[in-house]
This record gives sequence, C-alpha cells and structure tokens, in this order.
Amino acid sequence: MKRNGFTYIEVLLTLAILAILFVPTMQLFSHAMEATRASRDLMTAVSLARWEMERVKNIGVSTQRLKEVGNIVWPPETEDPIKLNGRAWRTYRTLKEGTEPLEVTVEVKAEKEIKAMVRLVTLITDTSWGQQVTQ
Amino acid sequence: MSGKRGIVLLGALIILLTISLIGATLASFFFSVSTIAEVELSRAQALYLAEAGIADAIYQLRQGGFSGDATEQRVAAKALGDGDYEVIHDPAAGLVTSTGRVRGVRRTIQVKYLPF
Repeated sequence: MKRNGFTYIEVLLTLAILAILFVPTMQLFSHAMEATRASRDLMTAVSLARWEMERVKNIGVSTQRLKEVGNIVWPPETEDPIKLNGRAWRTYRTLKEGTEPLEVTVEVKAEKEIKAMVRLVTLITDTSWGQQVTQ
Repeated sequence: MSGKRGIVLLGALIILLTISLIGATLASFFFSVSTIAEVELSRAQALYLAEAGIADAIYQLRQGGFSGDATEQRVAAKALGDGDYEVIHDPAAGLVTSTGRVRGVRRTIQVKYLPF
C-alpha cells in the first residue's frame, strides 16, 4: 500500500511541472499566430504598394501630367476601402513638389492605423526625347 | 506495482516534450515566414530605388550627360526613401547600371541604350 503514495506524489509533481512549463509553451503558440498575422498583412501591403507603383510607372503619361493629377488616394476617401485578407486598405500616392526627376511615394495603410505599413519611393522621368504623351 | 513506478511522470514528460517540439517547430516556421515578409519589403524598396537610379541617369543624359571620364562615370550614392541608390554609366558601351540598397538588400538594374 505504501507504494501507492509514491504515485500520488508523482501526479502532484507532474502537475507542477506542467503548470510551470505549459504556460510559456502556449504563449509561444500565441506569439507565433500573431507573427503570422503580421506577416500576412505586410505581404498584402507590399503587393498593394507594388501594384500602385507599377500602375503609375506604366500608365504612359508624362511627369507633367502626373503633376497635374496630383496626389491620389485609392480607393477615394468617399468610397469603402479595399478589403483583402481580412483587413481594409488604402493606397496613397504622393508627389514631391520641385523634384526633378519626379519623386513618387506610395504608401499603404491598413484601416484605423495612422502609420503606413509599407512605403515605396522612386523617381520617375520622361523617357521620350521627342513630343511628350499628355494623356 | 514496482514496475509501474514513475510511469505517470514519464508519460507527462513525454507529452510535454512532444508539445514543446511542435511549438518550437511552429515558432521556427512562423519566424521564417516573418523574415521572408520583411525581406520581400526590402527587395521591393531596393528595386524601386534601382529604378530611381535609372530615371536619374536618363534625366542626366537628357541634361547633357554625366560628369567624369569617358570610360566610367559614377554617381555618388544618393539617399532616397529607406535606402539609397548608386549609378554607374559606361558611355562607350551605352550602359547604365543602377543599384538600390535597403537594409542590406541590393537590387541591380542594367539598361543598355544606343549611344548617339
């Protein structure tokens, strides 16, 4: 009968070990899930930023025309933001005045966040030596 | 009974070890996913900085060309956005090489043109 007592102590010891080590292990899972969410958001934002940057680089208009159009928010503030991968997004294209070649910045923000998640910057110049395309 | 002594503790330790191994593997996987996302951002930023260098070179060529000797004309690194870009122009070959750099990530673009 005495030997049964050892098993009882073992159970208590086991529960104590589980209690001490199980919590950090679960926290590891929690942090991993959070990191995955952040990575997914970052990849989505990078894709949107690249899409907007390629659009402005390949739209086929002169830098003069781009300056006339000015800064662009897409989708416009009057419309609902685009929903991708469980979040709402807007892209902001801004032109830096007085720069030659023209400095273009594309930022992507998730809804309800002030800071841009992704920011791409490049310079754009007219590649045509002859008459500029204006439309 | 003596053969069963310690079996509960042993079982619990095996379970805990298994959970820890799964957790460590998942954490390693998620960390690598996170790193890939950050590198992808740096790669995109470096690419557009390299394109900025090409645009700068085209602009300078339109303005009358680079300063420097006839074999290799190098433009000092210019800061832009989260990184910088550097341009090398080889007028003899009609070759412009632009490298964008962001947080240790480098992207290079070469553009060849017909000298005029």
